[in-house]
Amino acid sequence: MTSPLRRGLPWVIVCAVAALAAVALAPFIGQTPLHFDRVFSWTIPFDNNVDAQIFFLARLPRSLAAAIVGGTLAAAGVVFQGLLRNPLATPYTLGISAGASFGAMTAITFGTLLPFGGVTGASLAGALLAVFVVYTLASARQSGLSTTVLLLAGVTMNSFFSALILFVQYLSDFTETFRALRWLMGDLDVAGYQPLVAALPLILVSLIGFVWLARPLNLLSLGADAAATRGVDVTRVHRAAFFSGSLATGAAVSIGGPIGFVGIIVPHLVRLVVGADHRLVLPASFFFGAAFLVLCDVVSRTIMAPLELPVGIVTAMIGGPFFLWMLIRRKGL
Amino acid sequence: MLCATDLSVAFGAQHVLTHVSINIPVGAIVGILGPNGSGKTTLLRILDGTLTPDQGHVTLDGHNQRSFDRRAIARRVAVVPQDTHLAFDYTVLEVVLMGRYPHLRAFEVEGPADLAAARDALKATGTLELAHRAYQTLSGGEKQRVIIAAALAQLDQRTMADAGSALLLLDEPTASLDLRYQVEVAALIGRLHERAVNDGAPLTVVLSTHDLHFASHICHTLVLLAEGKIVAQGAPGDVLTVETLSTVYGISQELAAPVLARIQMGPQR
Repeated sequence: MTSPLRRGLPWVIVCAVAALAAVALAPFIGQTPLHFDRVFSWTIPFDNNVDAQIFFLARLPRSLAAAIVGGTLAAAGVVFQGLLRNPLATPYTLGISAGASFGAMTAITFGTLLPFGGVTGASLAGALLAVFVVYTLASARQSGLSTTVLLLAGVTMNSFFSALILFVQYLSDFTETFRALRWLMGDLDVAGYQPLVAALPLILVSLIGFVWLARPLNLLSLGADAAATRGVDVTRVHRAAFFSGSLATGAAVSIGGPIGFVGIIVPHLVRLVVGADHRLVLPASFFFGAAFLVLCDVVSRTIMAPLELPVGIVTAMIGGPFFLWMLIRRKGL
Repeated sequence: MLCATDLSVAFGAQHVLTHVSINIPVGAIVGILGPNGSGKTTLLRILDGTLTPDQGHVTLDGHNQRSFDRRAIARRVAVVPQDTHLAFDYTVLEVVLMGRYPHLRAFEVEGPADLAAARDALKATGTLELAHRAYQTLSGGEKQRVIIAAALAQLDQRTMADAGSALLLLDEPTASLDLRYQVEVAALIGRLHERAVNDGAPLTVVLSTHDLHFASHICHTLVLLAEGKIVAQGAPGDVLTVETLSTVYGISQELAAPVLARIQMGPQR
């Protein structure tokens, strides 16, 4: 009898290779064709090498951003699905992205009046605000964290922040509204590496949390009581899952905006191949999510070139039909 | 091995258990009986350590259960809930391997010893051929046997230096099953207990049930609960009498007598 874990491992490696290949190859696709020889040429000085400049300064940051955002959202989706014991949960279910969006909207509209700089920082602050409110509500009623109250608080905060976003939009002028709308569609048009560097520490800490969570999340799918009788510290796992999932989501949204569907399509597809064990689903989803969003970004840049679609429209275009297919394919969702 | 002293629990104003004391010796099969809402499940949850009583305490081998950490308790005490619904599509082998959780450190992966424990547990419950099936596609009786296998894998102490005797808690193990699976699961519990005794590592079993016939034939000791209090406790013949049945279940003595006669008929197996 071989370990089921070992049997799924090759798929994780396949996903990792796909992610690396996607990140490295995506920058070669675009309006201006790049030549491999010129990009990696040692003889031409960087300042004169237009191909290398486009590759390293314009397209690689974007491809990396897509990979980091896609991987993080997919893995966070797995964590929230495990925490809420619901395969239909998304990284946005608990109101984190709504909080991040509210922060971004505020920065776009009242940018000059805010003490802290930039849309990225403001969206991160908004996400943290949502995390704080939802956690306080969910842990106020009892010791530990009630996932039912968590869900209710999250859904409520989603609508509340949406109302605040509309209010801020109402106060803004046309150009601000346009920028805000573009941000809400989800866009990976990062200018350089700075937004990535800012979000990366938060994402790395969360990913370490995910690795620790993988096995307890398996147990949690038996139910909280059953997990406790098998030796799981359920309260600790709930807290770790909520905070690491939320921080990862907040960081990812601060880079690319609330890009939809990645956090639910990717885990579903991955589970079809590797099964349900979170120790396989989490890493495979991270890598496959990275490859998936890089690919979606390439489509968004090229399909209507020279016009660039926001990548959120592409993921939603894929996500909608995907859900219909899932509904038809299996009745017992 | 497990001793509960003077347990009382109230949920709000409602007293669920009042001054309940039971002693469960090593190797015994103890049945907890009583009408709906009499506190059976609450008692089991205190015994497995997931619920802290308002008053009283539970000792495991003479030490207060609170002095053990969750994982240490889980290596000795396994629970089979009434029914287990999984949020995701795990295979039977994966479900059984989850029983090994308290034996592994954080980040540790199941090794050959854990796989061997899972294999033995599957074999003992007759579910080895289901190992690679999806749990959700199994019938009710098969699911229950797989969850019992997971509990056995959890209690398998081959990797433990500080091994102590094992306790299996089952909450209405036959409640949601049809007659065939009821008989099957009852036989399985008897067989597992017998096997453990023969292996020289006695297995203690505590189960709650509504099935008086099943309880009286499989259990050495019965505990009869009503409204959170112990009405009778002892050998099945002493606990199940016309008087106790009529008071606990609120039926007349004329009705209780034939029920009792049916229970006292020999085992069906």
